[in-house]
Amino acid sequence: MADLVTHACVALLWKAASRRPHIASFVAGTLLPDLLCRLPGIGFTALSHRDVDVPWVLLVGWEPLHLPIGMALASYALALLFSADVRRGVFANLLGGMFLHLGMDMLQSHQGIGYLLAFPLPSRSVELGWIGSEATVWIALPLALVTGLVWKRKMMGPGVNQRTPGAGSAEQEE
Amino acid sequence: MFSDRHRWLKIALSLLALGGLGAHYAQRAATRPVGWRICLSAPATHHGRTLVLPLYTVTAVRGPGDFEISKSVRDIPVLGGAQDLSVGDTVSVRGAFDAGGPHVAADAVEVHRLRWAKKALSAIGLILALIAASWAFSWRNGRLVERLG
Repeated sequence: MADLVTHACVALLWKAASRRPHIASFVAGTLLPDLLCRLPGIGFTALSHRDVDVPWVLLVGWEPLHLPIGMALASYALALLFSADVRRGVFANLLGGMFLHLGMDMLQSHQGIGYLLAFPLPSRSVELGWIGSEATVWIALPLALVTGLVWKRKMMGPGVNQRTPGAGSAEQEE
Repeated sequence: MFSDRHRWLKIALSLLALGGLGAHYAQRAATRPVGWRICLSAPATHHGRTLVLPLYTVTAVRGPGDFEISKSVRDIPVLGGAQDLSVGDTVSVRGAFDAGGPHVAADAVEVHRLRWAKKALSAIGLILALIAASWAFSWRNGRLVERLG
């Protein structure tokens, strides 16, 4: 995985360039694979290293949340928490963000241990291996600076796309 | 599919499917053709098999090129490769399973010297994400709402 700062910055730059709605859902989508999959995995692994008897499924069973099928299911479940009128857009942006995350992670090299993109169907793991697994460390802070400048300029310019709380919900407008 | 009809049932079924996929993945990971656990279950059969162990933590160093690594599987002995390791380092190991130890006879050990920086950046990202989430989303009338559209 690339670091979360890089993931968030790339998502924000993507949205700044595309000018499409559901910015928050898209950025959340780029962060969720690591938050839903890596974070619990790291936590339970740390527990097991302290001689806590952690079931095997809690050590490695989070991995589907970092694969397309799990991303689709998680995006769908999360989108259902939103109101019906924005649900499709939220789903598309959560899933798009998650796929952007996966695409960035696939650039990295993990000694050939990549991602089972077709899981649960039988398949070989895939990674492009173009950059090292810590390569983004060097670009994270400059990228954060560029992202901040781009968004500052965007927020100050015309066409600021900010909703008031609750706007866009047909139920609340009724 | 995206309607309010049986909304909570659809959420529950999605989570159930995710749980099933997790269980399936764990079962697959434990029984995949080449893995430390499988090699240990029948050492003679798997002697010489290539193992790839990415991003493991060094949990013991017994001497130059003699150390143990852990992740989801604990305390895998490795011989060969990097000479200047310390406990806590992150390494990726490629090598052959040696039934005699048993251990991994390393062909290549990549030491991830910047792993701490990556973890720090991710921790910063996590904190910023939690702060941003409380600003970008709210909960109203039983629904999540995007405040930043």
